[in-house]
Amino acid sequence: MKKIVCFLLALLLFTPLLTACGGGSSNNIQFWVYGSSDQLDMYTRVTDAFNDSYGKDHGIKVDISQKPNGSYGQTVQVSSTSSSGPDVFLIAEAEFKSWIIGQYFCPIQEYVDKVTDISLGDIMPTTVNRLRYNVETNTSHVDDPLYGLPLDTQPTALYYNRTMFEKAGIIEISVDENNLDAWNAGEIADNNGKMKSDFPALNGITVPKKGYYRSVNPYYYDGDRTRGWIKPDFENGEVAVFNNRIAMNWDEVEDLAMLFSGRYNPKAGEENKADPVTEFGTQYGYFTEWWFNYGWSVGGDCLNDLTGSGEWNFSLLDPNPNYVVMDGTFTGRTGTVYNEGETISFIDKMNILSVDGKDEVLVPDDYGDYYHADKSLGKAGIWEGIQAGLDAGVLSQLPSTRDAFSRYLKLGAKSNAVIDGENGLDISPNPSTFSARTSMNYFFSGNLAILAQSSVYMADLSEEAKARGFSWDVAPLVVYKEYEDPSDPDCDTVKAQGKQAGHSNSLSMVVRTGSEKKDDAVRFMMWMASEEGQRIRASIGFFPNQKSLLPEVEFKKGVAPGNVRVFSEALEFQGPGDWWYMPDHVWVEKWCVDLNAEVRNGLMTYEEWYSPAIKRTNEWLQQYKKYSR
Amino acid sequence: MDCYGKYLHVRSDAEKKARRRKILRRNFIATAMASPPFIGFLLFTTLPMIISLAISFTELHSYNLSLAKFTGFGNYVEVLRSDMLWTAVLNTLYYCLSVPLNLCLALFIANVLTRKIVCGKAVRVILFIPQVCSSVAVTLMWQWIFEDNYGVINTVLSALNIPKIHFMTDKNWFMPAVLTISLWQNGTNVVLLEAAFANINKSLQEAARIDGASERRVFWSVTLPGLTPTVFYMVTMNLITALQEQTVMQIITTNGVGPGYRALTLVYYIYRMAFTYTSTMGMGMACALSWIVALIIIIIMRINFKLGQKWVCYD
Repeated sequence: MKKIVCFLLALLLFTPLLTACGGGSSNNIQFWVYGSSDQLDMYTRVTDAFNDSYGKDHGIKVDISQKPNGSYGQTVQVSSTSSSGPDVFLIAEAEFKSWIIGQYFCPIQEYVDKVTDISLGDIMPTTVNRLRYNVETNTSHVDDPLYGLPLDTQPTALYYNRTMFEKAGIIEISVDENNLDAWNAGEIADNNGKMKSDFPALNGITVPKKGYYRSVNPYYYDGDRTRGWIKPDFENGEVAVFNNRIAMNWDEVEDLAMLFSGRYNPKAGEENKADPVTEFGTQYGYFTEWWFNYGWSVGGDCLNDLTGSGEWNFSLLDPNPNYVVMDGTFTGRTGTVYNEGETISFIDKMNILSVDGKDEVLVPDDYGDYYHADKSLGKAGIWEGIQAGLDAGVLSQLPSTRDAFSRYLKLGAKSNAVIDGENGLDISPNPSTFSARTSMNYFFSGNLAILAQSSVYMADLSEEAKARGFSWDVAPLVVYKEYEDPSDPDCDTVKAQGKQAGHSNSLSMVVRTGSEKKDDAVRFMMWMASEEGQRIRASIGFFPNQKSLLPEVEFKKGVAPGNVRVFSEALEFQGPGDWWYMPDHVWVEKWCVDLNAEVRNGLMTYEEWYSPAIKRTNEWLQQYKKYSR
Repeated sequence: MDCYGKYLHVRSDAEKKARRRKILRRNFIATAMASPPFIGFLLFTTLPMIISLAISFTELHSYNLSLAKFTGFGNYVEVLRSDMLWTAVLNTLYYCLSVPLNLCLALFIANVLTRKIVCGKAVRVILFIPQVCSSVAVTLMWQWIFEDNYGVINTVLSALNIPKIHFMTDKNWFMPAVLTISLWQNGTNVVLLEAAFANINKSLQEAARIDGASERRVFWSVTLPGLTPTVFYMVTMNLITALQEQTVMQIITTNGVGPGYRALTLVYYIYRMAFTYTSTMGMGMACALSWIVALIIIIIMRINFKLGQKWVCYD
């Protein structure tokens, strides 16, 4: 007995050594997944469908294996050199490029080209192009190698609290811009089945084509100062209409957010409190964690490739205006043709000189602007062709990326914080205040009226809303839109409009570098990404990658709000966030750590922050060219 | 000779062989029993150390060791040039303030507990509970306490119409908040000091009192010197732990590095180099910094032991 106990004890001591041992191999394709119960169910259903159809016909069998969410990445990475890892696994876009550099998965174009019997249908380019990467140049152009196929893409939109809007006296309608005239004329009902006559307050009023309309005293930004906000006077006949089918512009969302911000509209008795709340229980009106929506809307970005071949530069504070094609087409400096609604790229708007037949490489300074390669020639400025476009009425000027970014920053900056010469609006919580709770938690707790978030939260929110007794819906993300006369509440003639923009999160399928079944693995991935595979996903409430399948999405009862198609529409134009731009995100920390903690809380001025931040970030961006690949 | 012959027994060859076999078997069993932890030590401590030293001379951005490229001392140079390194060093030293703070608090509490107090046992249990709780759970709990909108502290401040303190987002408040967590988990120190108090030679204290020494004098001249071996042990262990702080920093921050990189301690920086800053830094630099940190800890400990010879009283 004693010997047996000793033996068992010895065996027990050996067990740690066994942890290094892997599992056995199999002839089947190994597909490793992680995620929520709904996602796991979806992966299983689509995989089973593959095994029963295409897989059966072609002798391919896929084994699906669920791994713990917390250690999924590490489990896959560790298996990269073993013979028993997955053939196909999932990758989030934040890790995409660093994992390519780590050679955990391989390019798949050659395998995709071999497959002729699976069609990806009208798969949206925004979902596929983010899976391309040229390791040498650190670029993701449409002709760069393809490393994966999209499986699950989650777009973003504005969630809003309908109950709160109703309580505030805001009329909510759901009418597409093209149908608004007919709806105003009383000819059709809106998407919620409401006729105009159902709203007596709208008698005699023609609702303009605006996301948020106030019949008197609309708030607007006039370029030099922030005009004081005036609370809607509903008692004396002022009307406020929120249309969830038209994207609000920056003024409109701020106007609406102030109504729900304690700083502007405090409940009686809260006026002198440090953190006042409104009578609706909210502390803030609007929250968006991401600048993309603002910067991209005017055609800017946080990184510019100065040469088109990986000469990255931090451009979020570029002070040069942006331009959009308002009518017809415009041919840029490099010969690129831009269509109506498209914004002109950095490389086409800047006055880049030709030196020995080649474009000069602009030299960025530490203030966000750009100089000619020969610095004695001064700042590069805007290409003369742009002025011709403006004169001809083909182009309209949009705010600079820097203006768009500072407008975004002002939302969450405290009123004592000065952003580019103007005080913060304090209508949004600072993103870094969400230490122990998520922004969605903040929203469904009733602290916030409008929140920009991913579609992935719909199921959670519907449950919470049911439990807490409020209703909600979604609307498009805000867009840059300038009216001819912003002081006229009824004027909806657009002088200049940016593009609809935002980000979507994507989970993609990739093939492990060490896999010995790459051909079959790619066939499986292609089937999953094809119309056949995506149709199954759509039938259980997941947004498909094919445009033609978008109308087929079916949600569980009570999960989807009335205007859920906002998400489907967003998929067509939403791209990956800045976490995907570089192989890691040290460069983001170089500018955003001080920004979130210091500038937004008024502990550092914007002027103190931006020049060192630009310098640090540009210096760090050079690191991405240094390491060997 | 004969008279003793009956007591002598000359082993036969067979007996000698059997005995040797028995000894061999016994040695084999003993070695077999002792080998698992030894093999474990070789495989999971010595071997990784050797591999880590080797990796520190290479550029590696993957778990796949075959991708490593030899760079000589390049990583060490890069690490020492990194501006974040000095931030991490300062943060680590700041966090090391927890050592004297914890020590003073533990000394005070242990001193109180040596007297007869009401519910002494219950107080001891309460004081020790945080020590047995998971660091992750404790950190999450404190994260809620420090929360801006619903945290206990800020709720009280709001009720008193005092502006909220942004513990997790204000770089001036971040480290004091983290030090508070460390102070709360002070149970082991209290228990050790209480035991040390109990072991103080009572006759020496009595003799001092008879000679007319005040209670304060007795404490400073008799009790405290008697505690110094335990205090030295605590300083050594707590200092090593503080120099290796990572868990709390990693869990409590929302942006990964805290306000103004305040959460970036040396060991956490190593972690981020290997697993977050993988492409621009990677395993090579992480391993190089690991060895630098090991060297720093060895130097600090050497100084600690040298200084200890001057103030630790083993009599």
